[in-house]
Amino acid sequence: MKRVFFLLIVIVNMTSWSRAQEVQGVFEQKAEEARIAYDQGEYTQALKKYLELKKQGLESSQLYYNLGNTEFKYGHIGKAIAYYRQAQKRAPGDADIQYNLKYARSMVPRPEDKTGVLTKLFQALMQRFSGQTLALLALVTYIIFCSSIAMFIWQRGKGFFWRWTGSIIGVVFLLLATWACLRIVKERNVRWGVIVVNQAEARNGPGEENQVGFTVPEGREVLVLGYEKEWKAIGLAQEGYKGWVRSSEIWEDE
Amino acid sequence: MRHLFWESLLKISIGLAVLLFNQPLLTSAQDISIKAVVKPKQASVGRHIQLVVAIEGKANLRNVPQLPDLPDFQVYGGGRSSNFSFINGQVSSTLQFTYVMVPKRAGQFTLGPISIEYKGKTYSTQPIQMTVTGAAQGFTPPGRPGSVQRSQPQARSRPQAGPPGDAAQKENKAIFVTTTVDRRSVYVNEPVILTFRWYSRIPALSQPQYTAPDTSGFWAEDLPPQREYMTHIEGREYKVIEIRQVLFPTTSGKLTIGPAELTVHIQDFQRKIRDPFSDSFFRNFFSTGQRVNLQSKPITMQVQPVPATKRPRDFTGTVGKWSLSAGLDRTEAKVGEAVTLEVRIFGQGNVKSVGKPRLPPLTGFKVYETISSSEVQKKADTIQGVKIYRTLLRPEVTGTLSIPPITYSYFNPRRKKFEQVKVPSLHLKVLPGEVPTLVPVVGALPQTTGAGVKIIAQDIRYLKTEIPLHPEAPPLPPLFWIAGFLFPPLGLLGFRAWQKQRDRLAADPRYARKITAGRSAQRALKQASSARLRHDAKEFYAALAQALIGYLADEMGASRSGITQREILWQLHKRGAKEQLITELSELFDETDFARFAPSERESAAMAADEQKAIELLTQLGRILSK
Repeated sequence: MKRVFFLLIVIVNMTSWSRAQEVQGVFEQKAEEARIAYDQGEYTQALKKYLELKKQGLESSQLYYNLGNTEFKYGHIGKAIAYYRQAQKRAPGDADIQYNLKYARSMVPRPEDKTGVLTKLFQALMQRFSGQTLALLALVTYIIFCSSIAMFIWQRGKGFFWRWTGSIIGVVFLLLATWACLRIVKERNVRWGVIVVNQAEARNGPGEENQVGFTVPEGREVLVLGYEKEWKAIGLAQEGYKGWVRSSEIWEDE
Repeated sequence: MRHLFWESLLKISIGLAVLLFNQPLLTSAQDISIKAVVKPKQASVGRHIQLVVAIEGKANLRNVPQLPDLPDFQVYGGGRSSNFSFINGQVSSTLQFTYVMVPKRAGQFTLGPISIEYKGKTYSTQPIQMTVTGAAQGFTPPGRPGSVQRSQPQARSRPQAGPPGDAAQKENKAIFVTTTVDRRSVYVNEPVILTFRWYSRIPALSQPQYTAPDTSGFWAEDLPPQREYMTHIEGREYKVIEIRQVLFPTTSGKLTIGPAELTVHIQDFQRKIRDPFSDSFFRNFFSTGQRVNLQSKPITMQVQPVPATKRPRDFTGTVGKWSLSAGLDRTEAKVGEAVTLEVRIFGQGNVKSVGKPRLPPLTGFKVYETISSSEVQKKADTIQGVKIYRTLLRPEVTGTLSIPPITYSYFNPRRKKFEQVKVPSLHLKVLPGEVPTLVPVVGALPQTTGAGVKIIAQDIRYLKTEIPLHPEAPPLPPLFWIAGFLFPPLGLLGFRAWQKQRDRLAADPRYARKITAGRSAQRALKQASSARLRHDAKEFYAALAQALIGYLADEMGASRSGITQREILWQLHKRGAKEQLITELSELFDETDFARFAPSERESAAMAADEQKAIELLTQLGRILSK
């Protein structure tokens, strides 16, 4: 009986493994076709192939990065930035993504950045890790902190090393926990989007009947403040402007 | 006073002219001729008859023909024209007088002769025979001279709806106006035909001045051409001039169409033409007649709003009967090229008020402003035309882009319901356009590096060639976070409790023995069981006694080696154990002692029964001792 059960497990594992290998093969083939099309300048074809992969449920930073590259080469700076943002969200530490996003952003007109050095550092630090990564780091320090306390107890309150180690790790845990909370709250409550059409017209209200207040260049990253049918309220934090654009003219972060 | 001055001046002028004609000029009297023409020679009572008297001669003619007395006709001075020429020393002139005669009764009449005097000689026309027939339908002769004038202040028409004959029948007027509408109750934007009619039995002496009615609350469109025709009302023949307009009410509620006005000069019937040199002759001949202001009554309309229920979502307020067509100006375009989407709404109704169709979401297109134009055609009693909405689109992606079906809803007032027209999907094949060269606008990227590396061209980094099957950081489930943050403090508490227990066990041997009593007894019983299986009765009972005495001593906090069986039994007794239990334990003690110290053959069954009995006793005693 045990042998039969063991054999069954082996067979199931082999089947799922071979199935995974098969899927991986299909994905790799499609990705390779997309890469060839990209190299040949057939960006429409490359985009089509990558989007097919995305439609099949493959969502990775690499795929979003490649989609961003293809849109960039196609001249769609807005869509490129939107895809790079998605890639960065999934792999905040990837240097290629950071470079290409920075490069693409340099194509978009934006007001002079008057942010201070400390604020910039803080913002960079905030964006360096995702909320989940920070939460995981906080959990690890939390476990170490609890272990330090355990060691301190084990040594009956006489261990100098564990007292100070526990204290320092406790402070680190509190900082990481606060950081993680801020990041998660920001990720959940502050919605960002990218303008994907040339000079999107921002109106004073949701509807064609409202007057155009200002235009936003393609590729500009804006805050998404609200929704009304086929319209989205956007905010330009640096200029302090607010307006409504058509939903199709802005790609919101997923 | 001023009027009298001009009349006197005219008299003097005429007198001087007559004197001048008595003087010979350059020609003889035989060169004068006079002719009279009547059109038509047969007419009915009340109809206009035109009389033209022409005088020609090689002279500078200024004479006025002398009309005979015409008691059976109303005669109006219609006008005078003259032509004078001087060629090769010869003077010649032509004078033409036009009169309008309206016969008062039927019969045979002889007109003339009409004569003119020139140089003391009289020239006459031949008499003209005329036949006047009776009125076709119950002819009633017109009122005495002056009757028109009397009726004029009240010469207001029936305002609408009723046949125009009623007006004449009741009021017996020679001239009046009416305004009518083809319906009284309409919906907003439903067309209404407003007809203005001017009925007249007498000629106008001046160009009439028409003031259109006030149509506030309506959108008005003229319906040309102006129509002229003759009609009979109560046996009288009227000349009718008709002006029509189409009105589209723009708001609901009671709306009023104001009165239409017509100002015209007509003959003053109080004066007759008898003596050319009399005051009345000159007044009739040269004056512009009497000024008459005619006014129709206002019309009140009931305008209903378009029903608020069951309104389609794409209804924009358009009323009428409409059709829809749509098309793109090309079937193929490149990315970024302008393509025009033309939506044509054509049919009957107020073309200018046709609302903009709501376009479906146009995915893949950048949509620019919509420009509209309209063409209006006026046919018969309807306003029809087409309103064209042109929207500029710019495809932004390649492939075959589709424009979903376009629908347009309007309210049909005839059927009293909303109707919808629809055009199927349109397709546009979009080819790749020129890829724009993106140029950095922010100088964020350095051109050279400190290590002497020179940057030739900058671009984005290449594709990622390895795409993993799974995303790198799948979101962790909430249970993971709950467990992760809950277990460490729980573990810490457990650790602390374990440490405290360990300390107590170390510090308190009795407590430690009590805690471990059960486990010690189990170990001893296991040894006993093992001995029983080996048929080693001595070891079996020794282990059994160790299990019993050891457990009870540990529980009682006494020394295993120091406590006696009697003491154990006594302690149990003190702690409330039943006598039977104590007896059974005592018997088992005896049994074990006997077996250990007086070896004999023991049956396995007896050993198993003793073991079972020991387990039962330990269980029951454990309950008593743990209280």
